[in-house]
Amino acid sequence: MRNLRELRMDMQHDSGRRMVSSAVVLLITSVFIMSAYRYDARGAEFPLIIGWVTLMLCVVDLFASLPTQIGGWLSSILHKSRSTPDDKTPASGREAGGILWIGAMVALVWVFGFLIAIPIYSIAFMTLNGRRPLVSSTIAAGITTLFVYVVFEWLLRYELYRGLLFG
Amino acid sequence: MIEPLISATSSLLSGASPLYLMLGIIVGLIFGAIPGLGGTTAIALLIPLTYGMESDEAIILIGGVMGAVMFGGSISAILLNTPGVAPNAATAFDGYPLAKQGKAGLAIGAAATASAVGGLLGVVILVMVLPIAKLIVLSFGPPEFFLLALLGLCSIAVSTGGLLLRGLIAGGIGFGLALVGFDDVSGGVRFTGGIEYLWDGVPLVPMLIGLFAIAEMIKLSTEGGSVATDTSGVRITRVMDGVWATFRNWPTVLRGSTIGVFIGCVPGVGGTIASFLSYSVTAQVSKDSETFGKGNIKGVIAPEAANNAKDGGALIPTLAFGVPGSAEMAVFLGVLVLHGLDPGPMLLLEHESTIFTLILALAASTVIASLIGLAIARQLVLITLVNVNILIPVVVSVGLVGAYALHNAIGDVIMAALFGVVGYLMMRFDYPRITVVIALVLGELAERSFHQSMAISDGQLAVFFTRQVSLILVLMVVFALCWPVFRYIYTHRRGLDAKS
Repeated sequence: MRNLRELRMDMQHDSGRRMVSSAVVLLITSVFIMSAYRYDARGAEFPLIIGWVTLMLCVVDLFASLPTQIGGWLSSILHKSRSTPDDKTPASGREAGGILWIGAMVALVWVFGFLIAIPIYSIAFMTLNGRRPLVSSTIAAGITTLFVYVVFEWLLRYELYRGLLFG
Repeated sequence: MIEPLISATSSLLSGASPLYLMLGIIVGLIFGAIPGLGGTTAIALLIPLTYGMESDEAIILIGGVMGAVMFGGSISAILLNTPGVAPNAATAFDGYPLAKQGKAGLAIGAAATASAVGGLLGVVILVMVLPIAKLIVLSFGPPEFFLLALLGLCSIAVSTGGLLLRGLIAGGIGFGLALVGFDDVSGGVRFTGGIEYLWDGVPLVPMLIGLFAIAEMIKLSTEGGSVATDTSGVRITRVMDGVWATFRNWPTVLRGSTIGVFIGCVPGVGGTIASFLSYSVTAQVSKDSETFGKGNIKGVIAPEAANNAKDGGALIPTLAFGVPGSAEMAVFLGVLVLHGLDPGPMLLLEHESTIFTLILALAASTVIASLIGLAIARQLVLITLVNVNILIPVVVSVGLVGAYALHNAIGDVIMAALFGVVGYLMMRFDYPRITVVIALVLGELAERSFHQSMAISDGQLAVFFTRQVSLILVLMVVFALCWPVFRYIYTHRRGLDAKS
């Protein structure tokens, strides 16, 4: 059983997390509105309506994420988090790792093209991230590359990107 | 109605269409069986395969997926107590206890039959409702089209598990993304940041692949492991007993299907509520309610019938009014856009035969998926043993190749990856992804209708209140937005009553 102190700390952490995300979205919306003012009246009319309405919603969301009485009241009506106190938040390192793997794949594709990037990425992901044996990882990577080649290049006749080096 | 039906039947049976239907069904069963994937990811990944197809063939492929996903999910729910997709959780309540009692075949047979019958009933109701919807659509003008887009967004936001505010904010961002690129009204480009790639707007397919397929893979990679560890105890016998049990319990099938269709009609409510509601209503009205949760076959039949019937219901707002009822339907609208079919109310008027092709594909796939599922249930369960560290590179690779294939643009690959990260962060910080997609898909229609409404009314906003149909739609929008407040007052009062 989690004690009351741990629960309170988690709630504060959740509130902080929500405040940061609300502030980021508020900032993005503000930039959108400022950009909209650069266009002529007709071109800016609809974006400005959308922008200002979204901005107002962002402000309410920011208030709802504050650990105050009004914040709690707003939150109870408009925001019921899907996570429960017992939900495990993934470790930041694992999250960053998951995102970096995608970034690495895109970089590999850009430089070497799909047919080289796919086996490199697959083998690296399975062995380094998944701690799987090299042989089974190589077989799985080979099957994936073959599947992509047969379906996209051979059956559907798309020319896959060959990369900066070989394109 | 007869002419489009004949045309749709010939589309479904001609050329490579039956093969596409089978492919869709098999992909649907596999993606349904593996928890964490589901129909939305399957459709997003299949979009690139449809580039070279005729629109009817593409729709048949997607219809095959839609009809098969739910039954695929019920197999892993019954045999492993691991629902493939969220709505199958209700099936596991009684399906898994039955499997533990050595009656897995009975449960799977019943689930297959209930899925097929429920799916067919859903489709029949859809066909009956479409002519009425057509009459309603004919009375619509630009103000109604604009309000319909708004209503779709609001009703989805309201039903996103209590995340109204963030649902609406995500919708606002989606509208913002829809405005990127060339603007028909002013004749210039907007919000491109000087990037030429964005002149055609934010590309829909890479965005869908990113938001749903790549984002799910990032999430899976943070969790790790494999879905199931042991399937050795799986034995499937007495399947036909399950089939007969479904027909013997026909009131349960009928009740579940009706609940499924009605819940499916409400945008955003979705299959999970339909199956749980069907399960709980059946448990309440049954004489043997104490055996529910311990292996009552009606506990399998009720949610499965509702699960598949809800697809027919969800297609009513999607096809008739262009308002998708779920993330799966939103991605399906993306397929329509890709094939030159503008989503929105005019779809029903201008492409009736295409709609009937989808309906027939959906009906056929629910029946065929049940038959195939029964035959390969044992093998299908083995798929859940696949380690996520093998699954992730496969899905990411196919997803990124698919994003590239449409325009041969490396920018699309970057965009898919970018939206993958955005989609993951949205999941992490409770911003529903579905409202972004709906707003992006309906954004152009909304802006065009808004400007047309302003033009016909000399810039008077009163045009949205003075027409009968628009007034009804405005009231529906207001009601949708006020719904959380009503719910809060109701639960607050109940809490006070309980205390006193």
